[in-house]
Amino acid sequence: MIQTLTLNDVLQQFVSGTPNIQGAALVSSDGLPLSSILPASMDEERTAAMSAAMLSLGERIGKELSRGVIERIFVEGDKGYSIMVGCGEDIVLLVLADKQAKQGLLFLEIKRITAKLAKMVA
Amino acid sequence: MGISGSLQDFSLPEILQIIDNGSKSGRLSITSSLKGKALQNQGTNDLWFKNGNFVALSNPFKYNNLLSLIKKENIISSKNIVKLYSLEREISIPLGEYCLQQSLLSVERVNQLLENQLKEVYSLFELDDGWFFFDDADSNNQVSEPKESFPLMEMTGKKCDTLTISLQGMRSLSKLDNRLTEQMPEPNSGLIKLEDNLNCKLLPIEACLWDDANGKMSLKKIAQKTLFEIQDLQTTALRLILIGLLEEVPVSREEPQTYAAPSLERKLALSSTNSMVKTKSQGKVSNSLLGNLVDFLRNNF
Amino acid sequence: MEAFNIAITGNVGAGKTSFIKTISEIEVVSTEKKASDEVNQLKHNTTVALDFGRLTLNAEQVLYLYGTPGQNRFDFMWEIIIEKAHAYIVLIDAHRPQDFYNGRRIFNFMQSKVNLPMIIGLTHTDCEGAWEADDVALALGLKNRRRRPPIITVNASDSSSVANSLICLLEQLMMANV
Ligand SMILES: Nc1nc2c(ncn2[C@@H]2O[C@H](COP(=O)(O)OP(=O)(O)OP(=O)(O)O)[C@@H](O)[C@H]2O)c(=O)[nH]1
Ligand SMILES: [Mg+2]
Repeated sequence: MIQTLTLNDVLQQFVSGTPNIQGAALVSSDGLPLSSILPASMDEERTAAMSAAMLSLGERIGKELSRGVIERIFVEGDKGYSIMVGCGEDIVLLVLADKQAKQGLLFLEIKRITAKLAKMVA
Repeated sequence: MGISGSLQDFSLPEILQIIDNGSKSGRLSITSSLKGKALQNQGTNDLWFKNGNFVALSNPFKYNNLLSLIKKENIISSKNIVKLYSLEREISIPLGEYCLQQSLLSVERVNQLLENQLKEVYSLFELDDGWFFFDDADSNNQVSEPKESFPLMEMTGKKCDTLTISLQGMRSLSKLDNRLTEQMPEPNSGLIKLEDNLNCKLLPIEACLWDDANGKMSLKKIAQKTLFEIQDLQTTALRLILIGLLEEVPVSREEPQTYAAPSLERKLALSSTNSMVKTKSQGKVSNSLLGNLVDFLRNNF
Repeated sequence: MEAFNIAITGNVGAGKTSFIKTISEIEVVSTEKKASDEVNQLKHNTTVALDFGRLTLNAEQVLYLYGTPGQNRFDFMWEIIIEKAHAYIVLIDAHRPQDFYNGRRIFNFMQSKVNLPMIIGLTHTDCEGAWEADDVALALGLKNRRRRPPIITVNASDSSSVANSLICLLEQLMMANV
């Protein structure tokens, strides 16, 4: 059973408790939002659909270009990062971070939160 | 099997065009939503069609509606009315036709009854929110959900074509809601006819538009020529567009570029984030490729 | 190398992915995911990014087929795919009238973005409750018989039917080319 309330709590804690993180969203692999803490300017549904599309393309690349199982999709812009990771079966986690974020630390935090969320949605 | 949807997505004239176009038979249920305007026509109304023509209006919560209309007219003795009520189980022809046969009503009276039913239908055009469901009748003249046959007790035996209904319905519409006015034709647009000939009578302003619907004259020009106000011409044109009589076309271009009407093009351009995208595909595909591909498809599949 | 790009768009479950799989010479690059909404009553998988197929004509010429997702929330993919296209096909499943309005939205979306040769392909015409082409046209808001795109029947899982629909689209291009 997916418990939206607690998922949302965990996401909220993650976003407000981790430095340089601006938002996060959990979406189904077919692009429906499950739970999200996003900047007000972002549309939840569009963001969800885009994250799912991007991760699925990444997975295809991993397979077709023999890169193995994809750990994450990492999009770096001059204003910040967006990272998409698989989170258990059929679920994608999107994390938005600002440019000051330290990559190594960011990945570590994401790994931690993914493990926690994956357990909750299992 | 049928079509259903929200009245926010399909307008009543559009649904009627589909019924007309396919010469469909069946029951069109119109359910007003609670959010919609307060109307005398609350709840569900069933419009019945035979081969694309309207033949009856029934309401699952108003039994013997046609009979109460007849009763109201006070021209049939109460004894005969009682007899008519008891017909319900055995009637095999429309009630109006039966009354004609029994010389209980004159032809004019029966026509009047149809008019009365139609008035209720016209008021449904006011609905801006609600649901519709068209249930196609099967070969036994029955619809499926709920299963029933044509309601003979609600039938006058007369019919009315959908174009006339749409035309009257749109005329009687006091206010066009935003969703409809979005399709308002531009003053610089022209009109073309979507029907070759017309069996219904047009009002003077409608006739002006109809006569000049040749794709060459803009609404502005028509206004100058006829001295009708441009706004009135626009709204009248919109009504005729909505019922499928006319279509808005650009007058400037020889062949319209897209399949969208100018007002729709403009609306879409406004609504989408960044309108017309620049096609990244470089130029045209060569005729050599097209020819080779046709051969390839013919030979391999 | 001259590449010719065709976009295949249209309603959820109309058969865009099947269409490309049926005709592509390579294993189609598809991005299908388990549907978690109402769509799963229709079928298990739904496209979330794109489908990609290919037909090589000769050493210099190739046809690429790009399929879009059907669901509205992926309309950013519609735009990405249509801007690369030279022509496109809108697939509508004729047996699901409740989705016609959605087809109309997709059609209008494409019309607002590009001005390209196109046709409408009616799939599932063999299924119970399928509508006739003329009725579907009206439901899509195409009231003018004389000025509307060609509407043809196509079975997305039948290769000769898919080939025929492509030929019909090519005829549109040839007309635009002269
Ligand atoms: N009976 C019948 N089945 C068809 C026809 N065309 C396609 N199909 C089937 O319809 C289904 C279409 O599914 P997809 O190809 O996944 O549809 P899609 O348009 O890619 O759907 P989304 O990606 O979810 O938008 C497949 O199971 C096809 O075999 C047809 O003409 N007749
Ligand atoms: Mg698909």
